[in-house]
Amino acid sequence: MDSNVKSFLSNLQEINDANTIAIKVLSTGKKASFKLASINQQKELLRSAFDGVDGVIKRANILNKIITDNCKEDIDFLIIDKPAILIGLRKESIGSKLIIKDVSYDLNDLPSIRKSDIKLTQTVSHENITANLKVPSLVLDTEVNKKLEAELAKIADQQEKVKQSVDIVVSYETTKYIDSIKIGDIEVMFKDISAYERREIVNNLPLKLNNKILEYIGAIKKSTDVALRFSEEVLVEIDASFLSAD
Amino acid sequence: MPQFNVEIILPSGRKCRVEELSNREYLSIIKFAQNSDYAGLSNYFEDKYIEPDMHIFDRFYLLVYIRMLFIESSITLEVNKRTIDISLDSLLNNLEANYIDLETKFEENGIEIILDLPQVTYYNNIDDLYISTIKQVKIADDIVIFSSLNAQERLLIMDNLPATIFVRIKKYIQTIQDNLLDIDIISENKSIGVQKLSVNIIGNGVMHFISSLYGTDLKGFYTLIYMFQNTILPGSNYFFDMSPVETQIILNAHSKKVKDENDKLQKQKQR
Repeated sequence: MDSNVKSFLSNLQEINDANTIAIKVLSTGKKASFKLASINQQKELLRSAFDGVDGVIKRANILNKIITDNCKEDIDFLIIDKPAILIGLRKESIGSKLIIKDVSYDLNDLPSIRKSDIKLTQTVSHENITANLKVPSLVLDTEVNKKLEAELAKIADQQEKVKQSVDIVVSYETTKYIDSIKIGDIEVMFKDISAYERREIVNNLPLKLNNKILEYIGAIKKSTDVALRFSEEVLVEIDASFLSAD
Repeated sequence: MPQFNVEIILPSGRKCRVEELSNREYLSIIKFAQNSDYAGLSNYFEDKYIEPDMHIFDRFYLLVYIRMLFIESSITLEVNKRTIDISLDSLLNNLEANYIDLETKFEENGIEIILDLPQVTYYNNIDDLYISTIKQVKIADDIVIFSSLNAQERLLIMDNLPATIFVRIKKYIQTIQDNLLDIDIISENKSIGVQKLSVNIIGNGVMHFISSLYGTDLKGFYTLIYMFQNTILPGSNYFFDMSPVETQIILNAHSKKVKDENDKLQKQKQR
């Protein structure tokens, strides 16, 4: 590469590092400094629109990477931090106006949520099985999504992929929220076992216990969705065009 | 010895000199066109005629001009089983009349950007469209001219620009679409059944049109080579150095000579 281009890129990097915004991180309760999104990040996100089911999983990881790469501080983010950070980046990078079904909205009008609104941990039991649940970190979310992506990539037939994806996604998604499972005196810490083993355990849990876990996941999602809701019917969708649409 | 060349004034007002197109080069062009290899054909034209900082409008004009000057000055359309000749000169006039200077400059987060009509002949992917509209990026006194960079360097700089600039580029492309999306290159003439022909410059319509403009029957061209090498200029390799239009002039002169000789022979027989 030409030395002038190298020096120009380094100038560009300096500008990007200096153009930061402060966004409150829900899990830490403090403001953190974030660089604005780059064109490359926008393009990566847009490309995920063309990858069908796989694209949805890829997109989740692209967004996680944008959060961790653009944050200037070393924070172990939780997935509940995602909406507020992405909305903050969108507002500063593109603007606060957003059109949903031909109606113009202002992202500044979205409500904010408090950490106390979210149950970061919970224990659910059925008969002699106890599941300790917790809100997953972005690191874990990314790691499991990668496994999920690899699993879906094995299914070549697109129709079959759509059919199977719901089951696969739900079971992997469930593993993210489990910290440990205890049966009698035996406790398995999910961080100590492989993604495959976690999924095998989830697939073999009694339906009643599984439903309780899904209820917890649903409650977390409902609480975090508040930060994306203009009204009961109008929800901001963080899709492939989120960082580029007017 | 320098080859014969001509000066052309492009719609933007810039001037350039182009070397005469030889039959050797024309043969390569026909092969690209016959194979519908638009990317290959555009690379060929870029190597031979196009300067990297020319925008698509000037490139389009230049390639039509070269076709008019060195191959044939008109195109033949078949309408309702009739052949109609359309002058390329009128096509060039249409292009000149449609040209709008859309160069624009803005500053965002301390980065000054100049956008202009895409400096590209053929879009391989959507990135080419975005990258090719960036003419210049300036940070303080540090300037990079995009046309002087290689493809990898251009992509690297664009990818590292803030997202706000991407929004401006998208809006700029929308401006081009609003002003120059469909350029009428052949006007409608109901009396002779000619329909309007438009070309979209934010797409590969330009290269598709150019390819059809230069494309001709490859077998017919080989027959022409054979005829020249064996009948008109036997033992000479001059055919490949001539331009197609010169070839046509010599071919016409040869046909006239053969006709005159045949007429003379016919008259002698009648006596």
